[in-house]
Amino acid sequence: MNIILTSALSGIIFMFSGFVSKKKRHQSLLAAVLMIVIMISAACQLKGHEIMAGKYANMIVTDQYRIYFFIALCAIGLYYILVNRKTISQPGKLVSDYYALIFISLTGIAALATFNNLLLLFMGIEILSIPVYALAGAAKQKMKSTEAAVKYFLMGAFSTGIMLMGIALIYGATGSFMMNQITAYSFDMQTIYYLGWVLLILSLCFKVSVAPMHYWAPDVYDGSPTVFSSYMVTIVKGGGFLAFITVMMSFKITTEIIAKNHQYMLSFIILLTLILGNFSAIKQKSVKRMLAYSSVVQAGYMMFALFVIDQASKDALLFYTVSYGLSSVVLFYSLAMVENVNHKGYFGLAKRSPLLALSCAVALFSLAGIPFTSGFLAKFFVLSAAMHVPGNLFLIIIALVLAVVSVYYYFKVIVVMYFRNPKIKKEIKLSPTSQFLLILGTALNFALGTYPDLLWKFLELFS
Amino acid sequence: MFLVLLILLPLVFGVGLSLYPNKKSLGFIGTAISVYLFIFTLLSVFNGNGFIQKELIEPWFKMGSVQSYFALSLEGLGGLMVLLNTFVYSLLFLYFASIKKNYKNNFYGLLLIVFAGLNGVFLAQDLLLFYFFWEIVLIPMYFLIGLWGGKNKIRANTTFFIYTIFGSFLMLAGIIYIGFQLKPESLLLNDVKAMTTGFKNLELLPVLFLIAFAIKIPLFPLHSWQPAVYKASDTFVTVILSALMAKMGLFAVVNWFIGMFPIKSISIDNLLYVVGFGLVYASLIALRANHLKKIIAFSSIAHLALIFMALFTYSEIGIKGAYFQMFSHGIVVLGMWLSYDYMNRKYGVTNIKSVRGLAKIDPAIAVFWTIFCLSNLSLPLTSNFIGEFSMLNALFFYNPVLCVMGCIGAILSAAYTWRMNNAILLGAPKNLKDKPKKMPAVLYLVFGILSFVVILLGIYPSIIFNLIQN
Repeated sequence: MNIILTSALSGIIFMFSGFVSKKKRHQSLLAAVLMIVIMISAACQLKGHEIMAGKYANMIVTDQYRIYFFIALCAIGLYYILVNRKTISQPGKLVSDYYALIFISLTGIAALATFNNLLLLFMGIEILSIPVYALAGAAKQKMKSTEAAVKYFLMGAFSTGIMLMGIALIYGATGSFMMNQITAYSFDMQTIYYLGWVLLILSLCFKVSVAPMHYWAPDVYDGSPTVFSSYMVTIVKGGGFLAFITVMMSFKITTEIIAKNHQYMLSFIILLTLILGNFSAIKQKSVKRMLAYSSVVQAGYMMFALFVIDQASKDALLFYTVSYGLSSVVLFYSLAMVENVNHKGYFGLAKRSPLLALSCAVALFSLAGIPFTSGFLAKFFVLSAAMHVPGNLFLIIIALVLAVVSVYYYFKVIVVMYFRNPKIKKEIKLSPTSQFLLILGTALNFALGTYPDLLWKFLELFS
Repeated sequence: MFLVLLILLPLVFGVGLSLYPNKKSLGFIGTAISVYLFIFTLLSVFNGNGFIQKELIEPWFKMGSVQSYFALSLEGLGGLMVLLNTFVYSLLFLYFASIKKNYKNNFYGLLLIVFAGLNGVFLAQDLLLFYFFWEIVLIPMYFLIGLWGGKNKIRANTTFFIYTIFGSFLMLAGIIYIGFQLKPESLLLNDVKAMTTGFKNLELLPVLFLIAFAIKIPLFPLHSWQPAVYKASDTFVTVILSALMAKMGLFAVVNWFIGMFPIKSISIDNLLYVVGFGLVYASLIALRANHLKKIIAFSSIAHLALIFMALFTYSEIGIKGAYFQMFSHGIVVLGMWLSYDYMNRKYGVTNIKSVRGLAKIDPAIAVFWTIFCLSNLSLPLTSNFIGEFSMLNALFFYNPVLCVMGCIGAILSAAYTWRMNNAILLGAPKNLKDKPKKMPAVLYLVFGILSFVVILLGIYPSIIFNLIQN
């Protein structure tokens, strides 16, 4: 309950903070502080100091892994807020309102991190999504932004309907919304119970933007203001995966047929995602749109962690989320800085701002899965988690061959950054704080890539 | 500690230099590092035991039930390759001292990062660690080709990168399969070997690794990235590619492929025929080519293919010859590239049809160039002869047809090397850009050492053979 309360309170504080100061410096500082407060409250919850513990008929539980996931998302959120402390005002002047929406959607993630009841899952997903619909349309003057908001909202509502249908079917079969009672229920292919799970999984697929439910994603990520696209692909997507893995943890595979079905379904989703995502990304002329498709592809890789749920795959998913978040924040920040989201804006970036180009290059290496960056180990962990299912070898080989395609379009950006001359001559000036943050992110990327235990050491600080 | 220094020292200074703003040329740092490491590697490799610790194992991190180690070792072929690596780098950096046109600091820096990565590849004893270094070499290489290349560099660079990363990712799939399906205790070579030798149904697994290694060497059907890259990239980058990175592939075949699958797990013979065909094919192209870089590139493909064939005879003499030739080819090809670079820089030699009579203008370089050419066509008393002789010998006992292919390659090698040599050196001087100049003293040193080693190894090959024995 701690984290839900603190993040909701932070949202409320920001609704009114605009009356006190309109300066974005103050707002961003407040946001960073509140983010730390939320992390501390999560640590308290893990230590057992929980407000209103055991109330609400056990709808809320404290699970170490899920709280860790939440803390990791908050840490990325903190980095996101610090990096984007200036660019947050790009879409408009209502900085405090944007932060309010961000923190309210974080409340949704907090609910997803603690739910023990399908209704709370539904609530969490809705609380997570609705502020983000608003954020997508934040640049009111721009058609694309409005289009993104409407598209996201309509598709989101549609997927929510699917989720409700799934929950209803599960309730019909088991007579309960509580996760532990649902898990205990044994079932086979014939029951509506299984159908309920499939619908639930499909609707979650929508939230994490994997095929065949990914069509909204490129338009929305591309159309939304860059700052908020960054938030969507890192934290919102991470929240989606947090819900996803929780649902999968409760999904007990009892028979051989269901195990096979489960495997085929995931394989189908992954293959479709990787093929569609990669081959669409390859021909994009806009870096932003390319990153949007790449976000779909990365979600496809994260799905590998869901084949078998054990400690290794859970850790792998968490690691992947952190690694991807770290890289994405930097890349979307660079998108906000270069002023032209096409490849043209990146021409000769190494000459306009060596540091920005270097951190972009490292982030791209990480996404492409080059060793010594965290992205490689992330890919390695999720793929090896999937290897526990015999017969996944071919899927993994295909996934890695498709990763070669992704190397092509990631490195296209590096080519124009380093091997071409700038088309826009103006130098990009970064403040010392920004420089420090970019160096920090790059160093963290390398550190996680060489010594992955660092992440667990960091998270253990909170327990 | 020395083992860590081999990787850390060039890495730290390499990263430092590549980020250092370009005010004063700091290439001497590279010289200092590589000479220092060369001397210590020489001492530790030849000084049997004691003195310098040759193994290092530290736990790295754990994935599920599989532990991976930070394990390095300077024993056996790895030691020999590190020796070659440090030697090549020392001479390369000494050669830089003679160049008027200064490269920027980040050029030296990136070269040093490659140095660190190569040392890592040759030292690593853990499969995952090996993969890390194997891949990381590509990144500085990518920038080296892209930033300092010539015409068509970006296209060649992309082809090179995609090609090699394709192989690497296949290998990664193999590593994941080994690690999480066969479930060895750790990813150390010995533990992996225990699983892979006992396990049946491995048809696909060796192929995954072999493709990765074959692309790097490169072997015949997978070689098409190579000539374009050699041609487009800076000569010094080409030196690294042909003298060292190709050895990376061969080293991986010996240490990892044969190490993990010591029994013939796939029908290797058919593959060897393809490789043998590639050998002849590459030699024929070299015979018709006119661009010097192209000739050396295809000659390199042919020589490396022969080494690959000899390795798979699984016979003692073949493998020893292959080890020897790996070392020797590295040195000879370094000599050829450096003298090519000198001739190109001073006299504008690129196409063998257009220039003549270099011997009359600059006899010094002509002598050195001839020595390297003679070794390249494996004349007795040069180092390549020893290697090729033992390899052909082993091939003959293994399969005479393959030996015939190898011999055709050797004959053609004589033809194209001599054609290239004659065309440049002999006749009346024509189309030579510059007036005769004295060769800088430092180049006498570099080329002198190289020719000395080439001839020394040709006369007294036991230096290397004893090393392999141990």
